[in-house]
Amino acid sequence: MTDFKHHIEVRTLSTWFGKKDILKNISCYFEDNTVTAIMGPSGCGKSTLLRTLNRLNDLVPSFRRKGEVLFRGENIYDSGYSVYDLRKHIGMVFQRPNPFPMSIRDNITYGPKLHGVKDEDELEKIVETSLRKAALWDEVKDDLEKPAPNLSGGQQQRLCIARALSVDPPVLLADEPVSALDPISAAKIEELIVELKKDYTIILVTHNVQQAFRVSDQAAFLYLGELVEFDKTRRILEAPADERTEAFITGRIG
Amino acid sequence: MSGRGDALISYLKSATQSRRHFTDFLFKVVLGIVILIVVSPFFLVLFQVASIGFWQVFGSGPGQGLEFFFTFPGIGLEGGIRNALVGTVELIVLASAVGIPLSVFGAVYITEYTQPGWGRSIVEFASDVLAGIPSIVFGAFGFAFIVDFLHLGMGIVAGSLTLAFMMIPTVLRTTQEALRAVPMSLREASLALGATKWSTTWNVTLRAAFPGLITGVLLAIGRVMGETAPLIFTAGNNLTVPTELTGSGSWVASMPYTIWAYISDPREYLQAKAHGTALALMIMVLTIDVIANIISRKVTRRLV
Repeated sequence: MTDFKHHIEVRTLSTWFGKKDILKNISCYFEDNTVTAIMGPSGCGKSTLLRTLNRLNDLVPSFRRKGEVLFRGENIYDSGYSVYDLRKHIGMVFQRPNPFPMSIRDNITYGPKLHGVKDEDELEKIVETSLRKAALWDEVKDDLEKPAPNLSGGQQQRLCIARALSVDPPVLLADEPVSALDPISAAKIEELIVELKKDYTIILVTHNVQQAFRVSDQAAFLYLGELVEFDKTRRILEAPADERTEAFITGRIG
Repeated sequence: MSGRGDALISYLKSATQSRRHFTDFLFKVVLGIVILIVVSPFFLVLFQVASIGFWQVFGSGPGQGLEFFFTFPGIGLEGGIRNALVGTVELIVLASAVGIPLSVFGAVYITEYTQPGWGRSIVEFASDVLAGIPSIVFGAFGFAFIVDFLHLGMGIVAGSLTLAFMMIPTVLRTTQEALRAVPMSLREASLALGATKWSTTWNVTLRAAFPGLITGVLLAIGRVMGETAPLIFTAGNNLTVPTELTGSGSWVASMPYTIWAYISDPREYLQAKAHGTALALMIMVLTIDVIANIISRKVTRRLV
């Protein structure tokens, strides 16, 4: 029987876009109710690793992969595995806020409706709990019918978090979720991530060492597609074992 | 006034100061003249058409104004153009009902469901060429293929199908542009929630592309609305409105055809009616273009 301890486990994963190899033989795991930061300089493959976890890379025709990604013990790349179920269980927040061109309410109910929730009262409840979890409810509760693109950047990003939470996924992927925001909105979202850790497994891509230090429990440092270090964040940042990690932390590469 | 004159004089002085200043000045004048020539046809056409047709459309005498639009031509074509107005609306509605879904779904397939490659290039090339084909060729094709080969005969069906063919390349290409302008991350957000491709395309991508799509549709409608050539051999003509879908009862009048027929008619009083129809048609097309413009401008602000 496969090991069920971790929600997601990556085993000897290598990926390519066309002939270019992006990830080289990566193995790591993401524990329940922790925040894992995937760090590294731009172009090191951290977004690719993240998008391999919910099979979003499948959209790129030239994408190829070797190795396994286990979610609850099952390889998500098995031919019988439903990608729609997978993505229902693994939510995602993107680098730039990308609310749908609909009302705030419709942004939240979009996911649940896809997965068959029809009852109006239940949808109403989902809207409120999702927005509360994303710390946006108090700001928008009277404007649920307003178009989501009218919100400020930080509000939009929190709406996107609420949207991801609307289908109640145990795992949340976040691809540099604050890099396009102003410092105050960014701080709010960092706080939110720490808060959400209680209920979710969060995997956060960041190129910001301070941010990784503030919010994450464990960290993976990627460099040119290689997993250089994978351990408790504090350990990596306080006593890097590899000189490339040290160079990144001290700002010599990035 | 004198301040302005002084400014002009000092400007001319500096213009003649040196050779370089003068060349600069000369070029400015030349460009000004060019732009006058460029915009003058619009105003000349408007002036010419309005000078003859204005009272036909806006007057309140017998046979003018609303009466012009709501009475049939009758004996000796002395009445209004109700047949042409209704005919044009019917033709456009039918042509849109056929042409818009075909082109929109075609564009969705090409843009969302295929990868860039020779297949996509062929479709794009074909529709670009199709968009450049003279409208009289569409008319000849409509006659040879729809009227004759398909045995549909002249009338409202053949006429609107020919117009639909003309709309397809424009709507296809503008829809494609609108779809391409939708950020990839919007599609990804939907897919990442577990949506299928179809659900993503229908509920998110097309919705985001809708304003651009509508703009393309309106521009295409505005364009085919004024086409005479495709209708000459396909739609026939009618002094009332079509009562059947096939046969001679399905023949239909249209505004451009009526303009053409009235202008080439020796009876003097038809000139005013022809120009009145032309003015009305211009106003209709212009209105549609303005609406399209407003929608597309609103959108550029709104997209994420």
